[in-house]
Amino acid sequence: MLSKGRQFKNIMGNVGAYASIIFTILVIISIIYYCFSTGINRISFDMLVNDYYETAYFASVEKNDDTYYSFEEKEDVYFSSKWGIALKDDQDLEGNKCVKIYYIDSMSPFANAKKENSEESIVISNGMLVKRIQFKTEAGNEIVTVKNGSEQIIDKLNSAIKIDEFYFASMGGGIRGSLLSTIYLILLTLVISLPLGILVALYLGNYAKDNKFIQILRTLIDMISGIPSIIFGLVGVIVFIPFVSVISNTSGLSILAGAFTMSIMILPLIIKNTEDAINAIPKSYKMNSLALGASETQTTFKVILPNAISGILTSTLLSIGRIIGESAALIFVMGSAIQDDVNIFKGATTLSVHIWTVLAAENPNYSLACSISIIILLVVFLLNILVKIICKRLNRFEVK
Amino acid sequence: MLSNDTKQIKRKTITDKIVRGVLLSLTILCSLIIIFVTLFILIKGLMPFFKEYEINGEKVRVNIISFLFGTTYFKAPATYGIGFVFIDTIYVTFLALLLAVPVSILSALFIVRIAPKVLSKLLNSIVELLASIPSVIFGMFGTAIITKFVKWLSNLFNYQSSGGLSTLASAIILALMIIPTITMISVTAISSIKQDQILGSLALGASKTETNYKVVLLGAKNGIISGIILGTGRALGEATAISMVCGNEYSGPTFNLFDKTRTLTTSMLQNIHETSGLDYDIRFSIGLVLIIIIILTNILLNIVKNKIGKKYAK
Amino acid sequence: MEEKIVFHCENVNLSYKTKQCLFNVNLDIYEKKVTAFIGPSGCGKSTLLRCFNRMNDLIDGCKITGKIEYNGEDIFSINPLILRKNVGMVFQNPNPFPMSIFDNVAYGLKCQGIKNKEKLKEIVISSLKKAALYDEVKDRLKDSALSLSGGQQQRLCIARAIALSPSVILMDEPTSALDPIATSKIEELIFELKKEFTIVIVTHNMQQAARISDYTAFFMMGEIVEFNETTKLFKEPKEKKTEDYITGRFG
Repeated sequence: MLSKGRQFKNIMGNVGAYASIIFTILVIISIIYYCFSTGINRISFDMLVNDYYETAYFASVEKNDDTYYSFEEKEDVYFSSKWGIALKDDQDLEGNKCVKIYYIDSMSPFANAKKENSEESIVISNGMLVKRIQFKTEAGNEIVTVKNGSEQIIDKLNSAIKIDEFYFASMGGGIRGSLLSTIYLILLTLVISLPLGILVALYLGNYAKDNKFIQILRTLIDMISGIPSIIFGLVGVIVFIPFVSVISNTSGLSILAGAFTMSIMILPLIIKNTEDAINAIPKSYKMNSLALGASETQTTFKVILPNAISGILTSTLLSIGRIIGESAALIFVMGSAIQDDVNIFKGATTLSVHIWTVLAAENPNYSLACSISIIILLVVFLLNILVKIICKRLNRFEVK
Repeated sequence: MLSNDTKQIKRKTITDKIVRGVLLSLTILCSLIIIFVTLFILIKGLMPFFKEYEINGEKVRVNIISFLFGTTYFKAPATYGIGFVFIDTIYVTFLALLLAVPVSILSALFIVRIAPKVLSKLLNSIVELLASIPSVIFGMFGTAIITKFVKWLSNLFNYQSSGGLSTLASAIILALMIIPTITMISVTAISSIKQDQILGSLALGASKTETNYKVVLLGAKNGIISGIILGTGRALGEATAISMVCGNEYSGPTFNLFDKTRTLTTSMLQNIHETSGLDYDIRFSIGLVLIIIIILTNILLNIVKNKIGKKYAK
Repeated sequence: MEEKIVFHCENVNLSYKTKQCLFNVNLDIYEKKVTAFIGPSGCGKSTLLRCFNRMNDLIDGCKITGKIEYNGEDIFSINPLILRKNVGMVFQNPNPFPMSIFDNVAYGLKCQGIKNKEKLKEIVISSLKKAALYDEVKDRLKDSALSLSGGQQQRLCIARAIALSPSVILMDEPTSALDPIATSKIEELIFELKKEFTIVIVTHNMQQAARISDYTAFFMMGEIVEFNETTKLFKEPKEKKTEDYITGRFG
């Protein structure tokens, strides 16, 4: 029998361990739960493909005949048989109340709308937002806006003779620009850092002898990963922004400068994973190749490199995760202004920085931030699982 | 010997030499990056103390003494003080470690020693997932949930906090972010304890829990300290998440958990795109201080590690 | 009958860092004969074998003195790439590259710059035939070489070496990782191959040396204790140590 004191200590020791692991699990669950509960409703295909900023259009619409249009009735959708347009109350991607165009008859006057004060035609499509309509009735001029709601708008529109100004807008609040910038940044960064990282890993794993000089080189490369990312942001500002400005004749923040900055940050990661994969290749492969009269270079590129592919893949996936998650450095080098027109020589936000910008605004939009977070989390978790699968396959050399 | 081959062989030999040379120079280039990084930050970071800036027609220069020891972040026209920021940074990091270290070590102990095999694999993956969550999401979670929690807590103590933006919230967020780092490395360290030692302890009549604490954790302490060093580095360098919950206090130092605080990294990020000139350049000086602190902490903790590590070594 | 000497060693000493592995080795390898190196492990027999195609060059701190001649030419004056093309090698563990069977055999040829597909195919098939493997794999040349059995993999490695039409094949314990049936197949193969190639084989197995070789060198502690025709060495060893070893008194 253990003494009471010892028993108590044992129990407390176990309770501590259980409590800690439960706490850790609760943390990740509450983060995921928070993101999903706040953001899942907003996730839609529209969000991925829409611009962040609304674009406003102004049109004038005239009805020249007495045709009436028909529409299959639907709940919460209001249709003007006179004008052939159906409207629906909805929420825009920012979560505000809006009126969406649900349907336009192909023969309706709205299908032949003209730009205000000109003869140019303008396309009004489903899903766009109605902002304000200014029209003439028998009694005089009248105005309806979003605030009236679709039911009233349709009601009043039925008494209209001519629509002087139809103010509508494409839907905003989307993340197309940030999504695109993130993809550009990932591609550019990988194009710059993968070849460099792989070649260095080839040297360290295949050529380098284990002497003092090489050890120093290794330590210096490892030290890069100990530097916080915000410092690389500063380096990007000092070195890469001026460099990109010179080669592209532009000035200031740019995705390309961001890619250079990220490249240095992920270099140690690529080198380490690729070198690990090279070290896992049986030494006999190299011996055999050389014994068959192949030169060192041929051995390196025909035998060593193809067999290190799993390490290269792992480092690529880990790099992508790192780039998607990075924010501090990119705020310095690429800025925090959300862009709809993405150009690698101009600033932009990645998805992470998009969250930062949205939350730094006067009225933080948590639901948008959370829905972007969901996308980021899904991608990052997926990458994690893929890396696991690849690592399992990497161990195939050890089976023998 | 085989004359028509000699040309080809010569070419191959030359190619080998060239490839080897190119690869070596690339490797040297990559290892020089860190030196260039430090050099650039050093030069640019020292500039505000030597270059004259023109502000409102006045020519000014930053005083390095008041910069290093000042207790107010900014006084017009050109007095910057980060002495208190330095203290606050260390304080917040220390609090974060205080929270994270026990939780991480015990979690690691649970994963390796207590949980059944299947569960331990699952838990390991969960910790890895936690490690892969980007800092901006931690920041968002912090502003949305942690600050609310801190606000509630401060109300319990009848203290008016500024919406929960506080030292405590910053420390909690940092702790959550470094828990997976320390846990993962501790798991590796604990797994490498030899089964013989554990059986030896059990054979001497120690209970399983006593063995876990007295043999396993003691044996893994070197690895665990490495994890803590890495976690400290991450905590000191973290910027985005903490800048969302710290409130950027203007003067200090503050030791009250419910008061706003300011760290080196958040000072660098604050209003970054609404400023220029000296106020922009001073961020490089802060960066320089940050690098120096990180290097010093690393050295210090490594000394501690060697001291503790040697205590029971042969 | 005067036999032609392929390798001629004179006072070869080899040291690895501070440890000397070979002492004053003097030895001749004769053309189109099988020469076996036997001896207890760590006696330097594999080390000497690796001198013949300069594989020891790859090891840091390895120093060789003395003279080794290949067809009368100092091997250290020959470019290792040429030497290795003419002196093939088969290692202890069968270790084909993770490529198709065809690509494994074609690897060395492609490295020599042979690109003509017809010619490659021709050489690959004839090499596989010579290695007595063709009939077993002719329908699956595109399959991964790793799908073959251990014995087949080792014959593939032999085919890979023959493809370069070397004059000598060095074999470093080629059957030690194989089962008895696969081993006997390799031994039959060696019997066939010696019509065309000079073979030097390192083996742990004395019976194997007695069965397949024409000459045998007995190594101990980095020295050649005795070198003679196999029949003579096994029937009437001159040295006491040799006798002790082959009668199994130690080793």
